[in-house]
Amino acid sequence: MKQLTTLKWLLKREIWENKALLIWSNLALAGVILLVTILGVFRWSSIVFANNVPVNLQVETVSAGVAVYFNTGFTIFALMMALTMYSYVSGSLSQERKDRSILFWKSLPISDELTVLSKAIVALILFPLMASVTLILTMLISMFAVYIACAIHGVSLFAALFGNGVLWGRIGTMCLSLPVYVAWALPTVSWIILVSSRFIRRVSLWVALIPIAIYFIFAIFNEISGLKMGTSGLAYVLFTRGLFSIVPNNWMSNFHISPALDAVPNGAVHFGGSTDLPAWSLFASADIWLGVIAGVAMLYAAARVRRSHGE
Amino acid sequence: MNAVVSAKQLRKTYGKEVAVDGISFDIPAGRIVGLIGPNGSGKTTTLKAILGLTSYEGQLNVLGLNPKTQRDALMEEICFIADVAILPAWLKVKDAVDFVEGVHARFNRQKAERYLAKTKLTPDMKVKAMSKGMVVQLHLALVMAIDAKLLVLDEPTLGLDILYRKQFYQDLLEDYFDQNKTIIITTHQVEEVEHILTDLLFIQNGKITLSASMDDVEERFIEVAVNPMHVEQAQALHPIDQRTMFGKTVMLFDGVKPELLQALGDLRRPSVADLFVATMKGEK
Repeated sequence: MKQLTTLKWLLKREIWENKALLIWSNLALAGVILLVTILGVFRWSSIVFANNVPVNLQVETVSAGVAVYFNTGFTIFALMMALTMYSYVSGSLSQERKDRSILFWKSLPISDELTVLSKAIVALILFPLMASVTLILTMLISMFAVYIACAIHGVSLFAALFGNGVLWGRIGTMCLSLPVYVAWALPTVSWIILVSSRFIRRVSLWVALIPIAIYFIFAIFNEISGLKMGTSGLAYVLFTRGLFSIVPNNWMSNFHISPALDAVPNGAVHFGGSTDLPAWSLFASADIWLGVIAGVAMLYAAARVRRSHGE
Repeated sequence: MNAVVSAKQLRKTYGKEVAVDGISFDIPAGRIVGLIGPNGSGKTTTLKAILGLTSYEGQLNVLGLNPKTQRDALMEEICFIADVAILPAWLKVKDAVDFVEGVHARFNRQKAERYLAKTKLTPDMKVKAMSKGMVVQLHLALVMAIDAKLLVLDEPTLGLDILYRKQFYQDLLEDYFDQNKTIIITTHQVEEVEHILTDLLFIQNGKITLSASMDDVEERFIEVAVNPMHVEQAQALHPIDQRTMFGKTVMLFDGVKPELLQALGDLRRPSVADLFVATMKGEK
């Protein structure tokens, strides 16, 4: 119980420290997207309706537009989330040693394990959650703006925009793939946390350099010894899983999942109740669980390093 | 377990450099100990070992716990300031108070707020916007509000003005300290703490050169402003240090009976600073 209270305060602490990365970056991005969208929509609608330009406002067309719009928004938010999260994680244990505040945190009854855990939770859960919530709100406000812009001219797109599976289905898929993301990204996040526990400066450099060095040493050894083992498996482990698993949907490179709901006809609301959405099948793979095991081991190692490096 | 801190053959090396050279000491409960030594003498390393912040050789026992393996349990009972001005720049005063209250069972919020009220700090102020002295004030307010069995202060008043320093030591003695608490302080401003100390630990080159209670010190060490005609006589009693002041030779004696010295000149109690300088010279 006490540990849980402490964890709660540690999470608060992380939010205080990283408001800019966690909240303001999302709000700023949402602001820019909404500004562009709303200005664009009202300009477009006034031109189209004023000049009676023939425009196809069929449900299919609108749905396709919504799908493209959502996918674009998702990509932009996902990239920014990966970048801000990377920035957060690479400073997670090095920053407190750089500014020496570790001496203050260590003067309080907070274990190293709990501290490391709080950083992993912020990275793996709060960052994706904040990005998802902001993305969803941005999407809904945008859709509403489109609806208003057309409604002014007497055209109601409410059903086309909100009344089918495209928007809700995508939101649903995204929410349901969050747990997959948490498990999938764990090894990368843990690796960066481990590096940041060991190095005060140039964490980003070491994060990339160590796997690259391991790869080349192995490749050279492979050549010299004449073993001729394939190196693509190692590359997958070191780079795809080790370095780039924090990029959302990075698993798609290896797991050919039927593209979520693109193929689903309009109107078919596909989420709610059904948990067998494509991404969840990843939980049946050894890949994701080996990653989780490696990730937990690296988090534990990071706590040990923080323990022995008082400063 | 009477001793709050008990060290046996405590040793720490950084590569070939010996920072702490097999020291042994005991600190009983209810004492205020001044750990005094020049820069690089090993005092900070000793403190870090006590606080479980560094590895070491030898035996160390703090409140019955091993700081190496039982650090988490130890931190429930002790508190420390290992360095000043180390609060993170983004921390707000009110958040700092909330946080420590949240994670520390022995934190007393009213007390912290009382200390903060004596300063110019406001709840929404960030560390970034504070002067160095204000950061120290915040840190001290937080730490003094924790009812710890052992409080370790490494140069706690660095960057504070003289008024606040006096106030702090006053608070420390009258408001914070009691018979169940133990305080270990290191500072270069020895004259400011000597009236509150109960024990002295001098450390130099990783070794303890003096370990005594203030009562012992008072009994053992006498300073004499020797009259010119008695200088030779005084020399024969082997002073541990001598210096010239206003044409008189001031000599420091260790364990010489006051009756013998009275005839040589005016007797007085040496300050801790003088004592420190004298023992340091002797060791070189």
